Amino acid sequence: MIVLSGIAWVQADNWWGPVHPVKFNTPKSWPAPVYDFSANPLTKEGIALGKQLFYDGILSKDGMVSCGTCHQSFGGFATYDHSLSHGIDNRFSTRNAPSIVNMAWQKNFMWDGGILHLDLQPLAPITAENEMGETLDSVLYKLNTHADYPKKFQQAFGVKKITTLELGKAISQFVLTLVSNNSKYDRVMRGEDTFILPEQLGYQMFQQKCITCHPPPFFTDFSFRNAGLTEDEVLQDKGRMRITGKTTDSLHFKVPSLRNVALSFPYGHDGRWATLRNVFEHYRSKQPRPIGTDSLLKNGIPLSNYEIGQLTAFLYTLTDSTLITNPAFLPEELNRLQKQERDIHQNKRD
Amino acid sequence: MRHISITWILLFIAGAFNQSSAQSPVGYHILTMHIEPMIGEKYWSPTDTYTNSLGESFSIDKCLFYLSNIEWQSASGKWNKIPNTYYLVNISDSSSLQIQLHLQTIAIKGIRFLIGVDSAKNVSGIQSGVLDPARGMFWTWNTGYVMAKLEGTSAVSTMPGKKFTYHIGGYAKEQNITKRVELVFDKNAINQKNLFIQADLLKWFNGEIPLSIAKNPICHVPGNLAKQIANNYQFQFRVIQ
Repeated sequence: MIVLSGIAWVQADNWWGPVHPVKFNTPKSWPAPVYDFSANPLTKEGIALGKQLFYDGILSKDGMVSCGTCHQSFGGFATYDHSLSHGIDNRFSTRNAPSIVNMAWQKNFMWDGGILHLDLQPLAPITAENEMGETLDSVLYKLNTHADYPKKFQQAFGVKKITTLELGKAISQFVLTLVSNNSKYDRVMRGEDTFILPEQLGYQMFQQKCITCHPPPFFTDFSFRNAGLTEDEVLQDKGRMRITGKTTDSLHFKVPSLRNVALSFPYGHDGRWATLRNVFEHYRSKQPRPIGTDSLLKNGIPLSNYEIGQLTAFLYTLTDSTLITNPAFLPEELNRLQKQERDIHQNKRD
Repeated sequence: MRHISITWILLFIAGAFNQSSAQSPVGYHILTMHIEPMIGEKYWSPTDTYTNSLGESFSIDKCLFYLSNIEWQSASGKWNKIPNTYYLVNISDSSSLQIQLHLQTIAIKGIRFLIGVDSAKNVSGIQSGVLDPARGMFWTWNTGYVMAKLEGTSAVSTMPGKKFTYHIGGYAKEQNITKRVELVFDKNAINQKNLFIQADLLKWFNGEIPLSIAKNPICHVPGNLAKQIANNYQFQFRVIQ
């Protein structure tokens, strides 16, 4: 009887597992991650599910917008070539979606640091009416009645009913795997490569002029600072002040990571600077700065044209080509496309 | 077909187990807290119109609040925490107005709880059950629970649809609005099984600083207005003898 019951139970699709644990590798000489992996152990199943959700428009109201719409692989998982990230119904969000690599080391999220746990992060864009425009109830309904997802959630998390908890954990599992530590800069630091002269000079310059706010290995100190911005009259985005309610936090935004900075243009929380050159011009400007500007930037950063060229050369070494071409991170459509392209190329050679 | 019948047998067995687990643990007494939404001396009704101390008339469509970290006071005066107690009271959902507590003794002198959710649960990622963000009592853009929510309409509101919406939250340092409510009973306040607590929603408006709907029809962020409203509503509870 018990044996029969067991068989029936398995056949009724109640059985899950075993899951395949995946070890999170902290790059050598990097600090320990902030994310608590013991509460959400990485598994092959969880990461695959998270990736599917990340690139699925099912999380948005009209089915058109996914996480990957604004966090684009070819933009270093930031918004590529758009000042403000786009949402449903031809709407703009109010910010330029930042890069989401190396999230395991981050304590709070968003330009204003309003979100305090990685698992909670996706809920904000999903429910924002100018981003994915959905409700959590509706998303969970769509997932629970989907032909494929309930099975995958059961495999990954052993649950019969998908709730917000598993949704958040699944997306985190994928996002946590987006570690960027294979740029030329990293190779040079590991002794596997060497800078060419402009890069070397730029690296020295960087250490003198930029490193306080953008220290390696993350190229951000995760602080909130007022970079001497004027407020956009339409957006009226006060940044960190919206979260803390303190006027002293007005126009403070999180120092962005510079990893893959060559890919993640335009720059600034609202994408106001089209190119790196515009950013350097802002920093070296001798115009008086607005009240509240960070003390490090109050008098601007003196930069000659030569120095800008060298700094740019160094910043380009932060581009991690292995990140943006890793099939494990790319949407499946793109993987298929790239495979086809490669086949055509080979055919031509033959 | 055979699988289906076996599944039925299994369900029956599982059901039998479930029933036994729903009972109170041995040696514990069940005390049911009944929350009664009131406006002054009258039971709340969504179709009635009320007046606050500033003379503004209004009606209430919706009110939800968290009760958590429930403790009971023993005859000796000692407070005892009941672990993991988080409840979401919704005045429109009668099942949520009854809270069952498992106590080691029925002879208790008082009860206390937080209106809201403690800071630890605000900052430790996604929670389940009544704390699931999908329950609509969570700010996704500024991590934290809406501890209490009151919505309705008033002729004096300047918002679309004459609505007023008060979503009260904030747990960090100076923004903290989590209030501890202590209700100590008179001798006969409690019978063997039931405790009746009225929640007078008029207290949201009438308090140390009266809440003017005309002046402040909305509150959707932590801060001074939220603190003022929470200061008012912390006095909404009273035990019925």
